[in-house]
Amino acid sequence: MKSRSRWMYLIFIITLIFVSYLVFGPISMVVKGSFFTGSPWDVGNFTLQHFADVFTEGKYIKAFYNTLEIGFIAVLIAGILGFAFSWLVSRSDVPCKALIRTANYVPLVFPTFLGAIGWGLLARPRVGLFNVFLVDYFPPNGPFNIYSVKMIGVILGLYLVPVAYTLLTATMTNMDSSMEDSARISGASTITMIRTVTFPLMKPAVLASLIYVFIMAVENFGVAMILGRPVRINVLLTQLYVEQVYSTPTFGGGSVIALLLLLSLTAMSSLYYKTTQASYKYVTVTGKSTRRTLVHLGKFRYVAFSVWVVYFLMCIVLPFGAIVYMSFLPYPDIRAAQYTLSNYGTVFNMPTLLRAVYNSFAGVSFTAVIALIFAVIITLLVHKTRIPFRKSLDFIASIPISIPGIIMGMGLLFFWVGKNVGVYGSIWIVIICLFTHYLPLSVRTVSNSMLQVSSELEEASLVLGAGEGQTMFYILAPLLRKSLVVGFLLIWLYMFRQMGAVAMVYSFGSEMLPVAVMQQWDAGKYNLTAALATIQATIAMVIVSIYLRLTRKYGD
Amino acid sequence: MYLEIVDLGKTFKSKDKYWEMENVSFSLEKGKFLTLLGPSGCGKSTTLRCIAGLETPEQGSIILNGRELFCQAKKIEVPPQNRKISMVFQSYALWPHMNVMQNVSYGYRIKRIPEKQWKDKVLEAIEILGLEGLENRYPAELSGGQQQRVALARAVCSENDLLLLDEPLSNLDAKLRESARLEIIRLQKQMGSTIICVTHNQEEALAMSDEIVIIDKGIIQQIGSPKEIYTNPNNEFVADFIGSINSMDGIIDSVGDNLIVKCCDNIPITVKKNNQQFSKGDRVRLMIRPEDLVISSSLQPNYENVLQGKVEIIQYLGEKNSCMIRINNQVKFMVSTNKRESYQINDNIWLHFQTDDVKSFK
Repeated sequence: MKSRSRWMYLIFIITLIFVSYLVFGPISMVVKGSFFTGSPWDVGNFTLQHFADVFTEGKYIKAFYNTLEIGFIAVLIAGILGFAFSWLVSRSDVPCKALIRTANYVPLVFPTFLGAIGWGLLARPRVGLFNVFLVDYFPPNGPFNIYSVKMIGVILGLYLVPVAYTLLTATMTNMDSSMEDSARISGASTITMIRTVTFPLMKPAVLASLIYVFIMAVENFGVAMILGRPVRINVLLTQLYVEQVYSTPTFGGGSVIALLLLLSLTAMSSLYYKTTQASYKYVTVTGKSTRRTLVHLGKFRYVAFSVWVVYFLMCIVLPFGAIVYMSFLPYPDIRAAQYTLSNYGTVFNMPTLLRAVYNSFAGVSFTAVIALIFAVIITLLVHKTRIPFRKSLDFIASIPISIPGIIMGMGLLFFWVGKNVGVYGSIWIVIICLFTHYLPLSVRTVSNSMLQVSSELEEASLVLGAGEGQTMFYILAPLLRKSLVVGFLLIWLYMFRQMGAVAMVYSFGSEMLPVAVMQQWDAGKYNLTAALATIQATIAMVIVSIYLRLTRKYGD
Repeated sequence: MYLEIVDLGKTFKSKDKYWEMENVSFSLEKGKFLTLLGPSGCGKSTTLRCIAGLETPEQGSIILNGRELFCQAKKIEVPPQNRKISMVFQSYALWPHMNVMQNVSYGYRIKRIPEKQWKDKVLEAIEILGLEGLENRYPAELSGGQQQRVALARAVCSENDLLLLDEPLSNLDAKLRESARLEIIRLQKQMGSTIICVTHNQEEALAMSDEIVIIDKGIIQQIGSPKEIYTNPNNEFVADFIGSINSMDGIIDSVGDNLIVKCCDNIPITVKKNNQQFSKGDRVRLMIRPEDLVISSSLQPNYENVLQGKVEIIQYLGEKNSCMIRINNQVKFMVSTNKRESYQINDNIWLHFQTDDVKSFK
């Protein structure tokens, strides 16, 4: 007994040091960079000059306003559509509910930056698919211009609808529908009922989901990069990236921006957390009967459904169709009327591109396995032992949740650049970056499934005389096997679509697929971009379909 | 009649379930208390929700106080807010963002009736239910029993034609349930309300109702006063569902003024005839309530029927004992015994009962 608990303490301390090193290393560099002069690897003097520079330089102010504008437009669109679809699915008799629900997995297959590429192909000035035929009537560039701050906000908003939908649906299905019935019995019409009961009850949840969508919009890198870069529109994150990658890296200014973003995102996250807590005030006794009264939409049934269909067309069918179509054209003009496989041929003949596909697949798989193992160790230490301060491990592992990938990547670059241990400039820094960025997601996924296994099942085994090792092997492991596989796939999918973090830390030899997509787009090779994007989406689609099949069987 | 439900029917389809409710008809006089009783999933809640207008029946009609609320043939369907019906939900459905006063007065406020006209009625309802001093509390700050009384106050203060209660006591713990039951009975007597209550608890139904409608699998099994239903169950389901009962199978030996049934290895039992048609050789099931059995260690005179058995299990219940008596390998009877009589396990005893107390079903 004594020696076993000594081992446990040792594992705990090693894990704690390791995780703290990964998490606090990059953050400390950002703090150091903000307040000290000099390069990341030497010790400079204390200064506030970097702050002064940032607040007086026009490019940062501009990027700040762009970020805000994009955030608000995205929140508006995602909020309205998310609420509408959520209400339709959980409260009305709209047709094809299963289809609408499944469509929420689409962002996993089709990450926002691919959507941006699709929309770029559709509505680029002059040559976009929508513009090319109308350019004669709307000289010189055609009616649509996707390269603008407003359109970045709109596209981002469209792809954040599933986020708002998911958050709101959780509350809407948990809300006791007899609250609404009761209002009707008391004499309220449908409109009065929504005004006096439904909406006030939903208010905290709506507010929370809007805050969350705003955070996601600020943290987004891909859409702003794809649609803003061609005309030099920057948000804060792309400004950071462009400065570090396309010009001489500035240690001070970048750190200040990163630090301020970190602080405001943390503040917003805690506001989000507070708001969700406030909605618990509204928890009341719920009856055992979970009978739902559905609102009959009558003739509006199909009107409502067609609104969703239009959304689905805009979000998936059109942009993805444009990408696939473009990947078979020899040059980026819809009127080409010639089809070729040469774009795919190029992918397999250019070492850097083929390497990107390979790196993405192998690197992400390796990182996901490591992340899963660590998540299991952390969950076991935090929830199944009595070590003092075990909660601190959980807390530290959850810190990266409010660090955007770009900032994580930047901090890591600064952290490893002076250390000559083969991390900087190799694939290892990409792996470390993905691992740390997705540590909170991994821990949450694993601990959710592990805590679902009632501890009585384990206790029953212990009582019958099995040791703790045997219990873990014969009881816990078989029960968790499936949910760990499902968790692995989910983590894999998120890592596979991550662009910002990887873009910041990759170097020659450690390219990843999303970065290759971004580079080819930036270089103006639209057909090659489309071929790479199709490959990215196809791989993701295979994994998502396995994921869906496993979760469906698991759910029943 | 004040309330008339005629031939209500509804089918219910989902992925893994098909279920239908048919020919549900009953009526109720003003000021009476009716209970819909049945196991869960029998259709009693659906019936209640159809009356409230929260669900639409596929056939039948509902008439309340001379107004047609629903009629499938005439395509009449009054929306719930215009039916003049109040309802207390199983979860109480108190709005968590409104305090007690706001919850109770909601019906008046949304109709924009000036406060002067409803203030007294609302305060009276609050007073009758003993909620004075809690007017500014929010539902989350109230106990389960208080929440239930707020839900009742909200339902009674609007002076509607009918009050519906959906499992009103199921959210309370056992001790509170008793006092809440008395509260509902007192309220009904005091306000003269007409009430329909849904429950799966037979004890509640017997204690509160003037009339009980027993439903199983979407079909009405029996309608009657609590006493009628207890003493004269229509069928085996009702007999078994209401109270506890002992049963044994037998074969009819002769049909005369009474039936003679051979049970438990050819012991003849005399049974009163009922309206079912029996003939010699038919299989019947006999049922006897535990309190109709007289237990003694010696054979007693003046009883038509006697069975001999052995005490197998004794449960001590405080005010009485409950014994399981083994008649033979198949038949075991539960009997209540006075706490002064002390039987021991394996005692040989006699069970006596009268012809009138045996119920027989095909």
